[in-house]
Amino acid sequence: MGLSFLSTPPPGWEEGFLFDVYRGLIRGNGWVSLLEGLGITMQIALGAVVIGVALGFALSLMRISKSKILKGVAAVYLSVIRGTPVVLQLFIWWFVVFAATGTTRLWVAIIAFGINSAAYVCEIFRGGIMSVDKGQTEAGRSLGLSGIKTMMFVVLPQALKNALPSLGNEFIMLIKETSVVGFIALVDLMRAANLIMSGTFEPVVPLFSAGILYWIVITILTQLLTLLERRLRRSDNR
Amino acid sequence: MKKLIPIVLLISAFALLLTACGSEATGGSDRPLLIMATSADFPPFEFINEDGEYDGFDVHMARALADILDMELRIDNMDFNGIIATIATGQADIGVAAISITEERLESVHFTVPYFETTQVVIVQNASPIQTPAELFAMGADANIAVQVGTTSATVASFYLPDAQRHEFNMATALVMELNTGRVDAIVIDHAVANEFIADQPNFRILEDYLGIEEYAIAVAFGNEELLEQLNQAIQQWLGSDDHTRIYNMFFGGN
Repeated sequence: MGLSFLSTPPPGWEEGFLFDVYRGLIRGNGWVSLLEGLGITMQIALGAVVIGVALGFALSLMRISKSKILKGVAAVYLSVIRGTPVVLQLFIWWFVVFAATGTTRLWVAIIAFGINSAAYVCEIFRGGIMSVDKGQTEAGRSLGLSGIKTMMFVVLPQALKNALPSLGNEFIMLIKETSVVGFIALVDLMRAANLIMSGTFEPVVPLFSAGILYWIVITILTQLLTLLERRLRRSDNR
Repeated sequence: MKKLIPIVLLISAFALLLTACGSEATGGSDRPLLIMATSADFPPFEFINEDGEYDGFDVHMARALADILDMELRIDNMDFNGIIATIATGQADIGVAAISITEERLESVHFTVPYFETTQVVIVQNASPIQTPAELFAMGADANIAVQVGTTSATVASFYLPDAQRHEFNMATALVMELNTGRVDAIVIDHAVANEFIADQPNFRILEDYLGIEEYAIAVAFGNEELLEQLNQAIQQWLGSDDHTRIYNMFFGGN
């Protein structure tokens, strides 16, 4: 795949900006690397968001539970994960924890970012749950629902709706945060741009190309999230 | 917890103070500044020694050259990958980081006369069945190798091992860690640096045949021909001096 048949610049592209575009994106099939990099970026972000939401949800329930042990475990988790940079965690996962295993780079990255994201998602969910008026729980309980059922059918649906904008934001942050996976030699979008730059020493074309790709993906995602939010809010308008 | 807060604040304030006076040259001198871009992860050419100071063959040479030119040396440490761009855009005056002269780099910067000759070699774990680079090349797509981003080692590796899984790291030290985990079969790196790493890692060995000969030189920005000319003269003067022999023996005497 690629445009490698263009082994010389097309007419009029021999110098200036067009030459930079040619050598950055076409000569070494840079555009293919950038798109492949974007694929890796999205795989990490999607994988991590799945782990992050599942684990984060569990953690938020632990945090509001009455058990001191569960509360304590969640508090330690949050404190450690939020108290250290994600690059450092990524290094520890790659060079220490998974060093002797055959786990692929991609999976290590997904796990590292998923576990990191869970700490933030936990707080988002907790905020969502707290934002539901206490009267809702009281109403559920006085209607004869059990504590768990009140949580599941009355509080959580409303909490989720309230948490959605922050959750979407977390996903967007995650996409951008994954740009450090180049440190473990995983070629994501950022690293793909970096590799092009290390071959041509020309920063404008690869950096702006990568920037535009990040921006497009995130803009599309923002639109989808807005649609989802609007759909969930439909029942609010009467 | 309350007792901790003043301690944390104190440490932060102290850390801020340290960075404030952390740079290599602290004004005070009338000599013009010579800013050197390097990547201090490449012993014995440039590294940070046990006292936390910049050290290595290149660092000593740059200090000697700065003295010859009557300039004040300041060192900016960065990823190797960013050095040529830093010089090309004029954010530093000289790039001294075991930089090999290549055609691609000559499109972006000037190089001084060479000051060091080196080769690229392959390092494997002692237990590895690989005995020669040719055996590694023969593994084709099954070969897993680690190299440093933007180095000639990476270029050489992609030339000899076009189908191999090539994992590129920012720092040379990460290559050693990667080979230690056994996730890669080999790393491709400069010979002198390989010797240095081997000294610390008795479980590694260097394969005998080398891949390509290269020359190190100092990178200078286009348009800075005056500095280039001065450096060329200074390098030639220094290469013929006792100081060069002394520093050479200091870092390569054992080999």
